[in-house]
Amino acid sequence: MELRRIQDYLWEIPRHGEMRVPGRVYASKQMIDELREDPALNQVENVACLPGIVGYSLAMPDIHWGYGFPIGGVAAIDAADGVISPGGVGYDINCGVRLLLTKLKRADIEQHVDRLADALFAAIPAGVGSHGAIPSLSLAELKKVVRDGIGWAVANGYATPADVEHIEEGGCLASADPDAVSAQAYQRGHRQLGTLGSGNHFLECGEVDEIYQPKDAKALGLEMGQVTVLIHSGSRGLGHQTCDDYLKVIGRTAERYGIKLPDRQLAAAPTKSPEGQAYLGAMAAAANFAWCNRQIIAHLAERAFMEALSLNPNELGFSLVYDVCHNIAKFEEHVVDGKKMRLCVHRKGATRAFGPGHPALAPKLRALGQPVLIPGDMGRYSFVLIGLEHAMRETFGSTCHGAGRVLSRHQAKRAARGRDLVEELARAKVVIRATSRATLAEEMPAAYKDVANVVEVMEAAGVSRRVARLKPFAVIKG
Amino acid sequence: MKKFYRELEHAGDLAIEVFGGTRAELFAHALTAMARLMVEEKGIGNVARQEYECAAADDLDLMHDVLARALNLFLIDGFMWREAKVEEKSRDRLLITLCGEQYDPSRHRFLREIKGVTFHRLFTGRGRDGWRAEIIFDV
Repeated sequence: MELRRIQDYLWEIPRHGEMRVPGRVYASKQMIDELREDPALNQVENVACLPGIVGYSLAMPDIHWGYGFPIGGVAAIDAADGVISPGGVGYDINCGVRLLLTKLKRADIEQHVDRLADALFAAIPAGVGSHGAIPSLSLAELKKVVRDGIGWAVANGYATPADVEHIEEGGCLASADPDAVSAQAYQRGHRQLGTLGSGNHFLECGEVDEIYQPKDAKALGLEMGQVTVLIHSGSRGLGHQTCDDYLKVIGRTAERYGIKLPDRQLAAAPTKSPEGQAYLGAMAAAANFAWCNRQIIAHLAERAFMEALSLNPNELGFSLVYDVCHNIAKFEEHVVDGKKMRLCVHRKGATRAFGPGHPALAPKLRALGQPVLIPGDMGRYSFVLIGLEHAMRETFGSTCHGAGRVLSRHQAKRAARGRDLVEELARAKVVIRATSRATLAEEMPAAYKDVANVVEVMEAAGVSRRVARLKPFAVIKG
Repeated sequence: MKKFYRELEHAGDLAIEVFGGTRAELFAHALTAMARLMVEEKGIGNVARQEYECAAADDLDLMHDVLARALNLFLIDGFMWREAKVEEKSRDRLLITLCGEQYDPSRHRFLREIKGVTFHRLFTGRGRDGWRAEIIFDV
C-alpha cells in the first residue's frame, strides 16, 4: 500500500480505485512500520468509498482492525446527500469514558485500598450478563431512559443538574426514537443499567501522578496525588442488539440505494432514507441509555467509596470532570474547503476533541476546550487531554480513544499461561478485582500498546494536548 | 468424531471455521460450535427444545440470522443447547431445533461471552470436501 508522509505524524493513502477521498493516518514512523501490513489500513480505504464522505477517511494512532470500519476511524459524511453506517459507530453504541474527582489524596487511603476495591466490586455488577444494579425497570420506564438520557437520571436521583454540563451533548441526543429500538434490544438491556459488562470495560481508581499543563489541570480541578475514578462502559446489550438489528436492515437496502459495499459490515443507507432515519433514532436511544449507564455506575461508586471509607458526600467530594463517547455518529458543522457544511461525523474508537470557544461546549468549559479522556491499560496509566483548535481544521474535531491492542486475545491468554496476573499487578501496586481470570488474561497490560505513544502523536500533530496522567491503583473488571 | 469446527487466530475477537457434510449440517455445526464456545458441553441436559424458522435470500444472511436468533435465546431467555438440528424447508428457509435446557450457573461452566454474530468476513460455501463457513463473533 502506498503511504505518503505529509508531516512528521501524518501519512496519506492517496485516492485510488473506488475511494472518494484520500485516507489519512496519524502515526509515528514506528507505528506506520508496524501497520503497513495491517488490514486496518485497507479498512481506511474502504471507508473512503462511502457515498458523501468529505475531506479524508481518517485514522487515529490507536487504529486497529474492526468490523468494517477500523477502530480508531473517523468519517465525516455530508448530511444532505451522504450515508449513515451502523458499522461506522460499532456494536457498543456510545461506549465511552467518564472521569470523576474526589477530595481524597492517595496517601490518605493507602491502608484502605483493598477494602475500597471490595466495596466497588460488590456494588457495581461486572462481567458477563451482569445485571441488577438498580431495580428492574418496566418497558415504559426504559423508554423514558432512552428518550431522556441523563434527564431521566436527574429525575430519578442518580444525577444532579450540575452533571449535565460535564457530559458530551449534555448526556442526551434529542433525536432518540424509543420506538425504533427493537423488543429484543429492550429485553437485552432492561436489567443492565448500572453494570460494567465484560471485555475491556472497567472502573479504575487512580491518582494524578503527573501534570503537564498546570493551568488546564487547575481549571479541571486536577491536583497531584488526587484520587480519581475512571469508568469505561457503554450501552450493553441494548446497544449491541440495536447495531445488529440495523446492520441487517440497512445491509439489505444497499442494492436498492445503489450503494456498493466492499464489506457487508460497512452497511450504509442514505441518511435521509427511512432506514437511515430509523437507525439514527435507535442509535441516539442507545446512546442515551449508555450515558445513564455510566451515570448510575458513578452513583454506585460514590456510595461504595462513602461506605468503605466512612465518609459523607462533602468529605468525599465526588464530582464529574467529563464524560465522552467514542463510538457514535453525530451531526456537526465543520468547514470543508472553506465552506461550512453540516456533516454526520462517525467516530468509531475515536473521541470528539473540540477546541476552545466551540459553542457545543458548556460555558464553564468553553474557554478551555473539551476535556478528552484516554484510558490506557490497567497496569500503566491513562490520560486527560484537551481538544485544540487545530483539531477542528484537521480531524473534524476528533482525537484518539485509547491504547489499541497489540496482542490478540489468544496471544494474550498464551502469554498469561502459568502467570499470576493478580499477584504481578499487586507487586506494581495495582489491586485487581475481576469476575473472570480469562478476561484478566485477555486484558493484561502487555496486550495493549503504550497509550503514552498514542497521545504523544496527537499532541505532536496539534490535535489535542496532555493535561494530566492518572496512575491506577485499584481496578474492577468484568 | 472428526472435529467439526476450529478456532482461527484473530486480532480482536473470536473467529471460527466450521465444517459440514451437507448444507444443513454446516448450519447445525455452526450452532453447536457457538454453544461450545460459550458453555462447557459437560452437564448440559437434553430435556427441552426450542424451535424457530429462519428465511433469507442468501446463505450469509441465513447463517447470521440462524446464529443471532440462537444467541438471543441464550442471552435473553437463558436457554443453552447441547445439540442442534437443521431441516431445509426450502432453499431459503430453515427449521432449527435446539435441544438443551435452562442455563444454570451452579451446574454449568460458563466459558466466554459472545455478544454478537458479525457479518464481517462471513463466509459459507461448498468445497471439494464438503461445506465450510467462517464466522467472526463479537466478544
